[in-house]
Amino acid sequence: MPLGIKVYQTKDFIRKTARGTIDLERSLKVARALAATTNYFTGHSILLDLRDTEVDGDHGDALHVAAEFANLFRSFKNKIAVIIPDTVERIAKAEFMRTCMRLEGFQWEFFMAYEDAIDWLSDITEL
Amino acid sequence: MSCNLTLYKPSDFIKKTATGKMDLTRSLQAVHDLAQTAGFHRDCHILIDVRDTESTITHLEQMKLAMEFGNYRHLFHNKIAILIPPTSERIEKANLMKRCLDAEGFEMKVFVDFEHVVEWFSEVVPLDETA
Repeated sequence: MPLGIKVYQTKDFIRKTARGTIDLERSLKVARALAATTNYFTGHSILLDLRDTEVDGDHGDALHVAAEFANLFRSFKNKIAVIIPDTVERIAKAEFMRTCMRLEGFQWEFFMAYEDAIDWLSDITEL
Repeated sequence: MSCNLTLYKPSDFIKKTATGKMDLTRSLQAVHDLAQTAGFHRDCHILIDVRDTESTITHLEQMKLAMEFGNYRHLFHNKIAILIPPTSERIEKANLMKRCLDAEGFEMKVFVDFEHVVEWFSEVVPLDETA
C-alpha cells in the first residue's frame, strides 16, 4: 500500500528573481550575469522567477536570447526552470522560448507554480 | 526591471501528503509511517502536506498525537514543516500542534505556502542586490 511518502533530493540552485518589464536588452544583461554566476557555482541548476514581470519582445528577441544563452552557457548541463504568470499570452511566449532553448540543447522547462518547478529540479523517490 | 540573485542549498526532505478527512486513527498511522521513514533517512527534514485534508481532530486528540510524535522523538532529528490550508480554523489547530511539539522538543513550523517551506529547509545566500 502506498504511504504517500516521497523523498526529495533537490540539487543546489541559483534563483534569479526579476520584476517589471523584460525587454531584449534586459534579458541579455540577465543572461550574462547568470552565466558569470553559474561559471562560479558549477553543478547548480537555475530557477528563473519571472512571475512579477511583463515581457516586451517578439519571437525574434526570443531567438536572440536563446542564441546568447547557447553562446554563454556552452558547458552548462543542468536544468533551467522558469516560473511565469499564468496567462495565455505568457504561456504562448514561454512555449516558443522552450522550443528555442531545447533546440540549443538546454534542459529548459517553464511552470506556473513554484512547487512544480521544485519538483522538476528534484530527484523524487516514492516510498 | 529589478533583479536579484540568490543561491539555494536545499536539504533533502521527506514529504508526506495526506488527503481527505484526518481523524486520530489516520493521524497516528501517519506519525508511525513517518517515524519509520525518518529513521531510515536521518539527514532529511520532514514536510507534512495536509492542504487537501479536513481535520476532525479535537484539542485533546491533538495532544495525544503530539505525545505519539514524542514516543518516536529519537527518530526525528531535523526540522518538521506542516503545510496547511490558509483558514483561521486550521491555523489555530496547527499552532496548538506546534506548541505541543515544541514542548516535546521538536523544531516545527506551520506554513500555508510551499515556497516558504523550501526557504526554511534551505541555506539561502544572497549573491547581489541588483543586476
